[in-house]
Amino acid sequence: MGVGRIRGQLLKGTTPLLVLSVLRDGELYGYEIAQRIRERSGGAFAPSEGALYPALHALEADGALVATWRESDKGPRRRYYAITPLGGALFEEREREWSSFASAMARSVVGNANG
Amino acid sequence: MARLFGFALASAALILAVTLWASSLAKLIATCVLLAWAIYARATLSRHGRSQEARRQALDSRTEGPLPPEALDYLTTVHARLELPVETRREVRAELADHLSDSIAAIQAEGQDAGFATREAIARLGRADNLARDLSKTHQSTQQLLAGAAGGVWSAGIGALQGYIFAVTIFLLLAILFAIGLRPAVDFVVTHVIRPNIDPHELGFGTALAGMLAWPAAFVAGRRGVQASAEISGRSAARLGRWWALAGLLGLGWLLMFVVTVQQSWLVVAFELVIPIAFAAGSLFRVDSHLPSVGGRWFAAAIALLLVVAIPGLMVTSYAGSSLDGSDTSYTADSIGWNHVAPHWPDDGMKFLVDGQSLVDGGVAAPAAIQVDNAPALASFRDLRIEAWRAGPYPGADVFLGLLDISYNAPFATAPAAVGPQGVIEGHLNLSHSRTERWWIFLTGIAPDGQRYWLGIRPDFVYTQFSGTIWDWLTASN
Repeated sequence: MGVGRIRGQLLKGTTPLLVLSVLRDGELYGYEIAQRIRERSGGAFAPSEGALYPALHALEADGALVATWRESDKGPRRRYYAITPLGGALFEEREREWSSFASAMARSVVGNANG
Repeated sequence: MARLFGFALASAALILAVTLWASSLAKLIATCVLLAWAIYARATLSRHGRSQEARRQALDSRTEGPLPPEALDYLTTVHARLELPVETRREVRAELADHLSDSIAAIQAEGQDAGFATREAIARLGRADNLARDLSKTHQSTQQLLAGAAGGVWSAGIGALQGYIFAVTIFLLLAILFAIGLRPAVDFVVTHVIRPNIDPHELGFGTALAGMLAWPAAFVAGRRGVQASAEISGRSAARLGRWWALAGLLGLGWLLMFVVTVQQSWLVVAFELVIPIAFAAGSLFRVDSHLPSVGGRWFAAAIALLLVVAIPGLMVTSYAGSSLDGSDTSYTADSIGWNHVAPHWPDDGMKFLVDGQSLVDGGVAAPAAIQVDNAPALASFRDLRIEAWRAGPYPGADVFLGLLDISYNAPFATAPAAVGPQGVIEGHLNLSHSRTERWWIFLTGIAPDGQRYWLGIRPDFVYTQFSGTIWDWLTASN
């Protein structure tokens, strides 16, 4: 199993969290969200664009995001996503889960490496 | 949406409860809950409609940038594989087109050629099948499906009402045209061209007409139900339409076959059975395309038109009906009060008494009565009974003359008879569950010689109407 595939599988479950995190700063459309995630991670995270839209639509269906079509600075109308209060709460919950998970992983992996 | 789902479940549970324990209190509670559910479903649909309209307007005003053919093919494939309502599919396609456009431009900005940029942008989105499947799943949940079914049922009800009003309006307009100038032409065609050898009493014309008016109602109901449920549940109308068609065929078919009780005839049965077929057609036939939207003003105009033409229209239909009914009086067996079934007449022939018994028509008042002038002459007869024999067509005649149907050698029903006050013989017959609608009513009795004699007959035959379900009709005897 290649490194790229492992990274893809790890990222798949975290896409909603990444999406919510970048949308906390303001509304964005799909391509911008992917770009913003890539930029924030310094290029380390490049979420599969094929997984991005299902994640966006699922979050919208759950009420975590709200989408509206409106004019963009460049080009035609875009579908902008904004986080809702429910989405904000969801982000905080997911963030806590991820922090806990990441800490546990770090302890486990680093511990094994050192020991 | 979740509350709608809850209401739908509660309604289903209450309907089940009322079916099992049909007390007045349960019915009252069920009615209140169903009413609340209906109001909520209507409000949900209204909100959903406004949201859909906003999205539709946004998409309509959107201009898609130019894309390479390879990208357009990819979008077309995704669009075709999405199992979502039309508007949602349009929206997804537009969003992905924006994405591809941005992505291709960004890759080209990195120094790649257009061909590579297009292929790379498509590759980043993944296989079209997978993307379409994943996107479809995000819009579909069991809860949404049930909410869609509930909203769809409501829309179907509204659609049925709209379709029925439309049908009645058209019918009344045609009836007025018929009254104004078409009737002579129709009469000429019927009398000289078609020349039907039928008895209008057996047609159940009014019931058949009511059934025909339900066809457009069923079609619109199916169409609106599928479209509403598809939009709410986030599923493809074409796919849901198959289930709606099946449910309509089974549900409406069951209702019409076993529950709905009307005057039946072969014509009525045929017309009734078209209703579930019309519903299925509305659910299946080009279900993605919307029916012409009838605005509030047009709807009000139709109602006003109905009110304005209703009176002359009904007069016309009444006039048309009178020509079919003739001067005979029709009434149901139930209204007469015949309620007793006797065993069939033993097959030892019927002998006629011709020694001066004369009969006077007892009229059509219930119960079936035969006036006997020489009542004392009956004193020597025992086991008096009235018998219902089928009236039949006169062989070779163009019209029914109401003679005894010679294909039967026994009465359909018999009942004990007794001489009442003023020499009236009375008895109670049950003529239900027979497709025959014309009867001769006889009075018979057993003479001292042990033979049964025909003592009298009503001078004109009696009409009855078959009132029941389709199943009753199909399982009835001739």
